[in-house]
Amino acid sequence: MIAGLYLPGDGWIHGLSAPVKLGFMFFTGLTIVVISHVSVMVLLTISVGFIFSVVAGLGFKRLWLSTRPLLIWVLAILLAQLWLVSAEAAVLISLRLVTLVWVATLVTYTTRLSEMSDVLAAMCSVLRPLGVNPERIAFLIALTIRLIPSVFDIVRDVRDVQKARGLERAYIAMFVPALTRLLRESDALSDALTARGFERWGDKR
Amino acid sequence: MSAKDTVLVAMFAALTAALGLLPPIPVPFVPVPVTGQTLGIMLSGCVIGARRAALAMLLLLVLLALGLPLLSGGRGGLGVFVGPSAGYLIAWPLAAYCIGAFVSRFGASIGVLFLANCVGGIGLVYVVGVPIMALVLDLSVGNAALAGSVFLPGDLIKAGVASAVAAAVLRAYPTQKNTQA
Repeated sequence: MIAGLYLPGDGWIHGLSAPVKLGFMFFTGLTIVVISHVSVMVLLTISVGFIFSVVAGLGFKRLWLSTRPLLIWVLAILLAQLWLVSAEAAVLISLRLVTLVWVATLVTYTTRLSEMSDVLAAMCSVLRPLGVNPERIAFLIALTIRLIPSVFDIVRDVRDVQKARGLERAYIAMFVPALTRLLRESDALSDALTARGFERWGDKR
Repeated sequence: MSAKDTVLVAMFAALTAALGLLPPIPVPFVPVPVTGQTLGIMLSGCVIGARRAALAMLLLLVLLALGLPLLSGGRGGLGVFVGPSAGYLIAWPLAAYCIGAFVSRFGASIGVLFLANCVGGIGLVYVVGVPIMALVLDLSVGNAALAGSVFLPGDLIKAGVASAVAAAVLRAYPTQKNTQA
């Protein structure tokens, strides 16, 4: 099933409201981009790492896991910058990248999906005069989350069928029936929605 | 948005997410693993039309920002929007729209589909993705393009697969013919 990246915890960072955390993230992001002194950056990286792993209680393993996908980029930065500019610039840019990603990941790990959705809902209500209907968007999001496992099952089913025929490497023979099935499911689903009056949802509001 | 628009947008957002859940496909002579998500963008653009495809991709980005791990390798959350590949993500809705517009303008023959996928699904994605990668990594755009070009062989293969699949699907299921509601 589909679950968010949120990790339950009882630190005070978990208790902060989502808009506060997002605001803080934005502010820290700006600060990180502006800092041009390596020693200040090192200090900031260490403190963000400390907040991530100890204060928020996510642990050093999580910190490492969120850093690992960046290592290949850090390597690229180090190689390119060492060759082109200086070691100092290379360290500064690598730390900038890692710290930015830590801050953003910290927000995602400590904020429930429902709280993030509330922020989105508030943003959508602001856009209501422009024709954005928050109820419809909420429905769209719920529908997509619901459909991901079914789509995954359909694609896997078709792949198994074609594998049984010795076609496991024939990607075209795999995707055509899968996609046709998705389109047929879509038709059935939209007929069902129409039959339940979907076109007029929210009209009375 | 009609019920049909809504369902197709959700279905193709879900497809693109599901393609990221499948294990990456190893392709000979390509150094990086080829994941299915670019395929999802291209297929959406070709099959459900510009506007719906762009909305599907936008929806996927919203789900990622909310904290769902829907990128290949189980990545997601706000972190992916500040990393080096953020530009590629932001380009997805644009790319899907461009592919759809191209197809509805010039027809759905396999040649047009391939061209559309190359222009929108590869060209446009790189045009947005590479400069942002250059910015994040503080490289020159040329060097970033060089780094980004490791994905090019895989992307070309995916454009080919997506075009062949989309051409067959549009033939097999013609009711979907890019009718914009």
